[in-house]
Amino acid sequence: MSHDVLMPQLGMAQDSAIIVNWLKAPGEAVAADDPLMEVETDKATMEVPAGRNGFLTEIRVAAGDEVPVGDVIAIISETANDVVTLPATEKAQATPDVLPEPTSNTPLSGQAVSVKAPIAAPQPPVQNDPATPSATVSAKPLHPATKPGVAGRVLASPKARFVAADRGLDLNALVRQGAAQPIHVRDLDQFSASSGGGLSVLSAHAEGEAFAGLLTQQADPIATRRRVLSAFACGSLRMAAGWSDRPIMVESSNLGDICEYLKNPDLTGVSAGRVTGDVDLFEVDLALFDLTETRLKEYRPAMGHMIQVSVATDTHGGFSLCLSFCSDVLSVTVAADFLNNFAMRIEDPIRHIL
Amino acid sequence: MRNITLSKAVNEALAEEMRRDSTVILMGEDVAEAGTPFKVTSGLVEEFGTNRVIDTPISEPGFTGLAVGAAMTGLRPVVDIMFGDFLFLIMDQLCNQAAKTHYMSGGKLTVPMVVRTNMGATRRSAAQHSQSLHVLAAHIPGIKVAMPSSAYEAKGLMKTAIRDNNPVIIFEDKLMYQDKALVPEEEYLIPFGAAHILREGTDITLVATSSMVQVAQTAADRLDEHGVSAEVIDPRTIAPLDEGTILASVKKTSRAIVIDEGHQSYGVTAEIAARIAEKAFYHLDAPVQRLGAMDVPIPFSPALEDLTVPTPEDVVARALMAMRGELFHVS
Repeated sequence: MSHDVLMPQLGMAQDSAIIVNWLKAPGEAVAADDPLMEVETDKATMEVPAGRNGFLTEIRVAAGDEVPVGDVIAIISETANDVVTLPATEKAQATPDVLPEPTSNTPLSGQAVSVKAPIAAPQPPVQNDPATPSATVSAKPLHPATKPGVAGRVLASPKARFVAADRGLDLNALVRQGAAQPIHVRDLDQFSASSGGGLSVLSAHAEGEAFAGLLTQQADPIATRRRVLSAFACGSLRMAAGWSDRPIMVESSNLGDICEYLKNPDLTGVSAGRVTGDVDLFEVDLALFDLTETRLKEYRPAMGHMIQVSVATDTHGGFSLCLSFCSDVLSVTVAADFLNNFAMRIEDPIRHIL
Repeated sequence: MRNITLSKAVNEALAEEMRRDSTVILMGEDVAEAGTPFKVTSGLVEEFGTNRVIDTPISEPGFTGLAVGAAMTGLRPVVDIMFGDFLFLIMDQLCNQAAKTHYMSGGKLTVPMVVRTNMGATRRSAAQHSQSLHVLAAHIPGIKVAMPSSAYEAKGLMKTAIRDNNPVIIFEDKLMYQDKALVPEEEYLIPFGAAHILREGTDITLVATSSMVQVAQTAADRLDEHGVSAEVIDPRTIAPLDEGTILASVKKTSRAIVIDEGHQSYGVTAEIAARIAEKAFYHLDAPVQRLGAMDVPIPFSPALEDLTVPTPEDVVARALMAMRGELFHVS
């Protein structure tokens, strides 16, 4: 399994950068924190870490070249076997038990410099098991990792750290995406908007017997189920968030051909709230994904500033509920209240319809 | 409102308080006939006579000790120390006697004494007449320290100081005596420990004392051109310090620079920066920066002297660094 290394965006208005130097040679083991290359933007020169554990198997861009942000510049593989081998320009010194000599201090001149792969394929350093002899021991990076920042810790302002924790953002993930350190609040805004990070997820189970019994009496049980679920979700949200007077727009879809918009379905009855015509997606407060006709288990959208809940059937005739939300839209207390109430309504539907 | 100089404002404060309270006296070198080298006390001896406006011998420890005793026994002396640099001469009278008498007498004695002196470099007065030593007094519990940043502050703080029952030392910037500001006709006092927000902003807090307030204001104007909104705060007194106003501002802006003309190491800037770091740490999006006078004896050479004092350019450069999120730490 190999992974592309992309030229990271290191500044807000930056669209390309120059590779000053490769700090690892092809074939060398890398840890996620190891500096992989030195990159120069119009503002600064900085070391960029590898971002994942493995082996640098291919370098696609020579030192000194300017590369657009997002271009593949190198490949990191999980095994050292995938090293791209071209006619050797350097004398490969690999033996079955020893990794090639690191060439990290030598700027590379060609498009890719080949190093003969070691015959034994050692494991990446993170999987290094001290109990396993020789081969794994030699798989350790020959140079101790010089980590960015202090003691391998992501550098972030106190406020950025606080806000990241509040939004559930992983600072390490931001660094992997190319956020320049130290990370400030502004970087969090930029990266959480582009990556969809920061969504919290809650899931719950609801028994389905009473709900199924109710649906058997309906002419169109599938449509009725979806609308009743929308009404229950809307009512639960209204109660948990205290939105008694606020209109709530629900997008109800099956991730397939059905998508309809319901305004206040909990107040208007299950079909009267249906909105026809164009709906501004920014008006949608709650998206309900009805997966009950499929074998899908849950759906966590990658991003979105609305409140999103999927409903799926589980193996025992009950329902799996999955709520994803941004903490700046919904606090976790309200979210938990909402999902709990939603499950209760499904379990005791007659009471809530009346 | 009248537009008057800082010198005139201090003169008015002294005259008004001497008229109001006959126990207020003024003493120091050249305060009577000469009206001090900066002409701040001119005219007072004519109105109040030589019993209340007293020219002393050139002996700061002597007349300051005299004032401490006078204060303990019913007068409200204002002691004029011609240059702030002479503070070193009166350290025992000020710090061992005046500051501790109330405490050591179990509250039976008070020392309602005001020391008025000055600070500030770039007057080409060389190393022994250019220092800003206010932090020495601020370090001693029992002494209040006021640092007026304009004629308005100078008058209001002086009147409050004279009415305070504790030793107060006021540092006027010797380059600001001719600076004018609007001062009300009617009487007013400025309470101690109440900072003044001169300008509201959202991006960075500039805490500045005395003449550095002007530096911060100029810097804030220039930062505005860079699209950076700076908030300028003048603490007015550094002991007591209005921590609440400063912290509330930093919690809003997430960034701060502290500017003061004392030497930077172990100085006022360090104290205020430390309090921000301690009490608003989780609100900070950039390291708190200090801008103080360079840690060197103040040079006599004008070219060199100007380099030792924080300038608006320094403040702007540091503020932009903070805004850009540039790395300050040493790895």
